Amino acid sequence: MQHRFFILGFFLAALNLQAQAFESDVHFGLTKWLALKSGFTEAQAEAVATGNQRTDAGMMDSIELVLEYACLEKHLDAAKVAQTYHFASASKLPASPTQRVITAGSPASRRAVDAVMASAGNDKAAFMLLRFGEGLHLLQDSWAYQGTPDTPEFDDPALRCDPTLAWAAPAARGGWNSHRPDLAKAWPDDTKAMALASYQYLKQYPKIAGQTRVAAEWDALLDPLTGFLQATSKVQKKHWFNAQGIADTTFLDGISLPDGKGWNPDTWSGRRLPQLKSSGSTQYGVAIDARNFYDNFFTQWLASDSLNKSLDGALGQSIGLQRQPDLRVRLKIWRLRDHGSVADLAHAQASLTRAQVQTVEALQKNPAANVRYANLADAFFPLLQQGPGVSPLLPYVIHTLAPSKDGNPRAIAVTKLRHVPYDELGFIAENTKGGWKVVRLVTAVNH
Amino acid sequence: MDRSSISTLLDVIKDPVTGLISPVQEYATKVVSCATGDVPETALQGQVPAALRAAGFKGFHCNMELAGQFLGVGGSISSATFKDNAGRTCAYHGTAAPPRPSGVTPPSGVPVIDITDPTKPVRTMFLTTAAMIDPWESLRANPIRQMLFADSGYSTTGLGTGGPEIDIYDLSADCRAPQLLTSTALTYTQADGTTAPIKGHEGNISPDGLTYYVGDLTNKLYHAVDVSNPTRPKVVASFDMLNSPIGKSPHGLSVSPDGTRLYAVAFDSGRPADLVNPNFKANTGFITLDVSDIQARKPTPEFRVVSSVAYKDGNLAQHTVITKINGKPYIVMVDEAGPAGLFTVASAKAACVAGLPPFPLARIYEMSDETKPLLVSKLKLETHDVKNCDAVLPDVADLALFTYGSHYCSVDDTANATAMACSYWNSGVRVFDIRNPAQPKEIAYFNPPGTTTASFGSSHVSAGQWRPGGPDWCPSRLDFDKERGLLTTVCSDNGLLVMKFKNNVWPFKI
Repeated sequence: MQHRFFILGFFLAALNLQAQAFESDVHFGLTKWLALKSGFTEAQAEAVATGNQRTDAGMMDSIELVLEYACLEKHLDAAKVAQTYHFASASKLPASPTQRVITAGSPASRRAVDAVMASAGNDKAAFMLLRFGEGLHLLQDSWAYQGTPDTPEFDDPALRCDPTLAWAAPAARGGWNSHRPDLAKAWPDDTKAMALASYQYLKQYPKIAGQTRVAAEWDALLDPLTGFLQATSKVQKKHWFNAQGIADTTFLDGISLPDGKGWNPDTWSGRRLPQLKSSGSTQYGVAIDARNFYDNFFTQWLASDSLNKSLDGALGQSIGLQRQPDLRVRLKIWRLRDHGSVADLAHAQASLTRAQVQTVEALQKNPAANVRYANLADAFFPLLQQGPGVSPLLPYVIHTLAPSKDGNPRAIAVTKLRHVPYDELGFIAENTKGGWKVVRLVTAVNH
Repeated sequence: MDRSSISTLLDVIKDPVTGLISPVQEYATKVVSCATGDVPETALQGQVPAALRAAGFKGFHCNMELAGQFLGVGGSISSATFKDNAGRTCAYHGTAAPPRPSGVTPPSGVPVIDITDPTKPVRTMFLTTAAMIDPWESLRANPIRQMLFADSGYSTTGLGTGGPEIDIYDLSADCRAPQLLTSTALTYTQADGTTAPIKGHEGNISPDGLTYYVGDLTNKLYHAVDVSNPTRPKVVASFDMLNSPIGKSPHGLSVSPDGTRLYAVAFDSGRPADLVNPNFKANTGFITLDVSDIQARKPTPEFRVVSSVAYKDGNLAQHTVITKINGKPYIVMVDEAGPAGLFTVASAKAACVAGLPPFPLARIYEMSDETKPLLVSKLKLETHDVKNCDAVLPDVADLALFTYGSHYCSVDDTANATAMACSYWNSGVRVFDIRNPAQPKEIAYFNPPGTTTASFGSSHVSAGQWRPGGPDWCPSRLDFDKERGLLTTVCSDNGLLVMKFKNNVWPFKI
């Protein structure tokens, strides 16, 4: 049996080269390595890297979902937040994508880090390290997102995304529904240029407590950097970091690379998010029956130890397959802990082929394949309802959609799950004669 | 025990079974024996006599001694401690405005002091963002969120009139190196729909770390600030003190463990004339506010008054502490001024003549029925006794603020308090056994020596009340460290003090 999984894993790894990521391996790991090489102490380097990585859903401010602010509703402020942290365009929102072209290393990409550099020099360098890392994130993302921002598209009139607000990776680099733009290996020259630009800032950061830092020569970093670019699994990345003296590689968990043999999943402790008290929603202004339905749905889908059995049982009753016949399989895919191994399948727009379905079914047979949360509330990133008002912390946000063609009431619950931290998911449900049923799953890569 | 407060001059307890009426304990029982090597007080409890001041006060201590001290800069009136995930403990304290020019060492701001080894405190850095320049009475650490919070007590328009900023720092990775999350100027919505800047002064964080409440003395409002997203805090509701059933000025506060109740103090400035006015209505005390709308983040949250309690033998209510003692909820309520208002010799004398304590004090209320807070005890010292007015007022004849009054109290464990420490400006730090909250007993005190050089950052100095050799001001919050048997606070001239207990007086062996 083990042998079979190994072959399957190899097959998936070969299929999913594009699912390598310019994610926490770069924003935390590579940044920390560069910071250490530029003379920061371990604790200082950790702080810079943490600030950088938290920009990807490690702090509440950075959790802005494009489905929410550009597709289901229009929230200019949220779109501006996404621009502030990730999308280095100088243009004022709202603006058409062609007016918001991103240029790698441009002045717009340096605005945040330059602002930190300016203020850190005045007795503040010691406590601005998180902010410095945050500024570097925008700079680094300008290489990943260079070009014209893409706009998510769904074949549902209720899910029309506003191109003047939406932020997503350019189509030329993989587009809104792919992890490809964040690949280090796919863009080796870009990654090196990004690393050099980061390194220059790291070297220039003001002295802390009057201490001079001694930086390594950039040329001496190029060889090891090549090794970083060649790593194609979490395990390979881990080995690379270990070889560079970085022992704690929990930050790699959740990146969109396949695990690789011997990967032990762990949780990075650097996020600073408030804890959800419950997996149940306390959202105001939505129908109670819809809220109860989604509470039950997520419990059944995410808490079941046997997803196959669960799908045949109560969860199966909650699914309507007429709109998305392979919905059962997609639910299985998104329960898999190793998203990097199935990212292509997970993000496939077309119906899954029989071979793809068989691949998923085979993976499901591994009892360790599905993610499990000891406390279901921990499955969710906490969300806040967007807009000017106040919001409780929510596991998911419900929006009412226009009725179906059959006139059935519809809703969508948008969520972001811990085991797929670079994705956002929307579960569309219809209220038919048999009650509420999930009829379609839509996804987008989260910036 | 059913207790009721019948009058402000004679607070009594009525036993529901026997019907017997007995007075509320007015004075904390005085500590009876000190440890070897201690320097006990030589006059009244809490007193530093004029002669000792003139000769240069050398300090008193009983059952407590200094474990460590960091006198890098002077202290202001709030401090906090935090233990990080690596087991390090750090202290943070305010320094008094006005700020020093940029580039001057030491800078203005909150010093960060590593007290992991309490015998060798090490200052690691200063926090110098807007609210940290002078956080006044607002500096708080929250262990759940692992963050440090403050509003701005600094303003060019007057001491404590406050600025609009809220500063939040992340302490999670290393308490010795807090990292800035935000320094944000906040506005609130006024009754006419327009917005205006909040003004910092007092502040406290809810136990879950999601709501920071600001006591905005300038605008006479309490603000609830949503800090779920700590890099973008926002005011979600404000309580206009015009709606307070007692005094109309806000100050300090505490929040119930479940976040649904705010125990907010209220007062109107006291005047000597009030003491002889038979129609004067008590206004100093606290109001219990239902803030469950805010805790639940309802779309249009409101504060609702649940109850209030006021008294005439105190003024300028400072803050509250909500705590449990032996399973019952209690409020510790502390004042900053005596019944005739902020200290002057004249106001103190007026109180004495009226038979009221000349200085502010702490008191304890049982909250089993939140609609009827019941006074169970007061923590007067001998210095508060009207009989002693002639003995103590000459000590402070050349001073114009606070003197022998209380300012802050903290308990050792809000889930089950056994001890309470209070800071009394000129009477030092004093610790009480409150296992029986109706009969607080003093178990230790530490009144640091006077200093002979004025410290930068000392609020004692900036307020013009420092006298060479005179007793220090100890007005700040205090933090118990049960694990290590320590108590930490800041005194204005002596800086950060980490004290340890002697004679096994605390922690109690249960």
